[in-house]
Amino acid sequence: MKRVRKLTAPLSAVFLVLVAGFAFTNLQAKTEYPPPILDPEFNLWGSNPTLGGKTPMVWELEYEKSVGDQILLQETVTADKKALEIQIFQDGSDDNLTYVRLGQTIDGIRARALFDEEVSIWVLLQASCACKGPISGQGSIFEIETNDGTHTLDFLFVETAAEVSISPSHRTIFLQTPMGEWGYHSIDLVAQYRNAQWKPPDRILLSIVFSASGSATGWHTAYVHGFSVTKKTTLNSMRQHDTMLSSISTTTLGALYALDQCTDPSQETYLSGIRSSGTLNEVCHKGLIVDCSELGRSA
Amino acid sequence: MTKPDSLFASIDEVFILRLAFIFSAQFALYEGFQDYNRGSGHPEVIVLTLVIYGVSLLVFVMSLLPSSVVLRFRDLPLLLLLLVMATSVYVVAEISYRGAYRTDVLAFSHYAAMLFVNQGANPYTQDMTKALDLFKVQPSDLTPLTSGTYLMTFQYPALHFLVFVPFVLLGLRDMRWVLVLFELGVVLTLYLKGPRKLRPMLLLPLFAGSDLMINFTAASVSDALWVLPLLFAAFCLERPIALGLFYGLACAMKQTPWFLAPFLLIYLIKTEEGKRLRERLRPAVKFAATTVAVFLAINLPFMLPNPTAWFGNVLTPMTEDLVIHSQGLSSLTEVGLLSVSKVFYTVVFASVFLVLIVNYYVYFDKLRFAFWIFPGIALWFSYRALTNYIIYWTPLMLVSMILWYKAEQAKTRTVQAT
Repeated sequence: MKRVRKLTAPLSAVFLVLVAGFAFTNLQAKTEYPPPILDPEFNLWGSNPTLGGKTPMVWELEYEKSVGDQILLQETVTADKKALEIQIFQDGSDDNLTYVRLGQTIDGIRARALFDEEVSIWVLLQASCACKGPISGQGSIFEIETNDGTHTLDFLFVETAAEVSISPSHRTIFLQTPMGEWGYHSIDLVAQYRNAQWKPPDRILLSIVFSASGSATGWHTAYVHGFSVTKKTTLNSMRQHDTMLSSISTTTLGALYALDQCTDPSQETYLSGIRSSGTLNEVCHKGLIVDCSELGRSA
Repeated sequence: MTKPDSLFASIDEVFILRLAFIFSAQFALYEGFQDYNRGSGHPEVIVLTLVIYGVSLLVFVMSLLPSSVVLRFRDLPLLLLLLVMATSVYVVAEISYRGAYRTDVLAFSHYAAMLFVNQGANPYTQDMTKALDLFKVQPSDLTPLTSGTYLMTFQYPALHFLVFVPFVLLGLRDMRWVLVLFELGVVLTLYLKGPRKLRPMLLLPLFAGSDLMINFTAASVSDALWVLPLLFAAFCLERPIALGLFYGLACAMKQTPWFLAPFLLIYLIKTEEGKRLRERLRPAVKFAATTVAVFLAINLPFMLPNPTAWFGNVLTPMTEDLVIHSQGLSSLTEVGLLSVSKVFYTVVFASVFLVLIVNYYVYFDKLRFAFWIFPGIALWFSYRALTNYIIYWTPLMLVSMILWYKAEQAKTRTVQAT
C-alpha cells in the first residue's frame, strides 16, 4: 500500500500528460468555428409589438414604410420549401421607398468563420402583383447586403445577369434568379473581398433587404428558404487561395501538384488543354476542386 | 441575574463579529452603488438604494460600538446580506432585465411546468420555442448548435420543472424568486449549522463577489436548485439512507451533481475501513439504492412514456452538437488559439475525472473533505466549462469545513477528557 501511495500521484501526472499529448496529436482539427449565421433557416419567431404579428427573433428587423404601405413577414411553405416570406405593399401615394431589412451582426470568430466557409442561399422572387390598382413597374429590389463599416457588398437577385458594378467601397453583384423558381446562390464573400483587395473585416452586418420604390405600386413578394454554411472541402481559406493563385501564374499544373490537389499524371493532357482557356482559374477561384476527377466534372 | 453575553464571548469572537459587520456594510454599499447604476435613475431603485445605503451606514457605526451591542445584534450582518441579496436580485431581474429571463434553462423549465399543469403534457416530447416569446428570452441567451440552430428542448431531469409546479399553481410569474428561496435555504442552513462563534465567517465566501448569490440567480441560472438538497446530503454523510434521499433529489434537479457519485461511494466505503468487506459495502449499497429509487420515482413517469425522448434530452451535452462555450481550458479553442476538436476536451475531462477518483481513493485520509470541488475541477476541462459549473460548489466546501471543524473539535474534547 505504501508503494501505491508513493506512486499514484506521480503516475497520475504522467498519465495526464501522456493522454493530453496523445489526444492533442491525434485530435487536432480544423478550427471548430461557431456558426457564423445564427438561425439560418428562420426557425425562431417572436412577437413584434411594433410591426404586429411575429418576426424572426434572431434577425434584427428594420423597416421603412409610409402610412398606406404594408409589410408582412411570415413562415410559409412555397414550391415545396419552408420559407421566410417577405411581402411589401407599396401604395404609391408618395415617392418614398418601402423597405425591410433583416440583419445580424457577425463578429469575432464568427466573422472569421464566415470568411472561411461557404455561404449559400435559397431564394425565390415572385412577380409583383397589382392587387390594389394598376402596377406601374417592377421597382422592387431583393438582395443580400454585407457592410463592414467601410465596404458594402450587394448581392442582387435579378432576372437578367449583369456585370459586377464596382466603386472603391461598394460592389454590386448580380445573381441571375428566374422569377417564380427557387434559385440557389453562393455568396462568395472571400472572392469579392479578394477581388476588391479589401481586408477581411472583424465585424460585418449581413442583411436580407427587400424594397419597393414609390412608383412600384402593388404587392411585392420574396422568399428565403435559408442560408447554408458548409466547410470548404478544398482550397478554402483566403491564404490558400492566394498561394494557389500565385502558383498558377507560374504553372497551373505545378501549382496543383504543389498543393497536393492533383497527383494523377493522366490528367496532364487535360490540364494543358485548359491551361490557356482560364477555365481552371475559374474552377480554382471558386474553390471547387476536390480531386482530379472533380476537376474533370467541373470542366 | 444572568451575566451579559459579552462576559462569555472571547475577544476573538467579538473581533470576528465586528469584521462581519464591516464586511456586510461594505458589501451593502457596493451593491447599493451597483443597483444605483443598474436602475439608471428609476425612482423605485433610488428609494431602494437609499435604504441600502442607510442601513449600511448604520451597520458601519455599530461595528465599533461596545461588545455588548455587537453581541446583541450578532445576526445583523446576515440580515443585511440577505436584504441586499433580495434587493439586488429584484433590481437586476425586474428593473434592469425588465422581467425577461436571461437563460433558456429557466424559460424552458417554467414553460414545462406550465405545460404540465395546464395540459398534463410530458415536457420531454414538447417543443419549447414558445417559451422564448413568453419570457422574452434574448437570442444571445440561447444555446446555439454548430448548425446555427438552437436547442429547443427541455434538457434536465424532471424535478427541474416539477419544483416550479406549486408556484405555477400559485400564480407566481417570475420563477427567479423560487431560486432566491433556495438560496436563502442554503445561506440559513450553513449559518445555523456552523459553529456559533464562527458563523459570520461562513458568509464571507458566499458574498465574496456578486455572482454566486446575486448575478447568476438574477440572470436565471438555476443551479441553486441542486445546491440546497446537496447541502442537506452533505450534512448526512454518516447516514447513508438520508444521504441517498437528498442526493437523489439533487440528481433529479440537474446533471451537475451526478459527477459526485463516485466520490460519495468512495467516502462511504473508506469511512468503514477496518471492517469486513460486507459491512464496508453496506452503507454504499444503501446510499446507491436510495439515490436510484428517489431519482427514478421522480423521473419514471416521464421516462416510461417515451424513453428515447427522455434520454435524448437529458443527455443533451453528449448527444447534441453544442458549440464550444467556456470559461475553462476550451476557451482557447473558442477564440481560435488552439485547434483541437471537441473530443480532445472530452478525453481530457474523462482522464482528469478518472485521476481524481483514483487519487481520492488512494489518498482518502488527506482528501477526505476535499471531494466537493472535484466535479468542478474536471468540468473545467470539458468543452462547455461555464463558471456556474464551478462556483456553485462553494457552499458544499463550506459544509466540509463545518464537518471538519466539528470532527477536530470532537477529537480535541476526547483528548482533553483522557
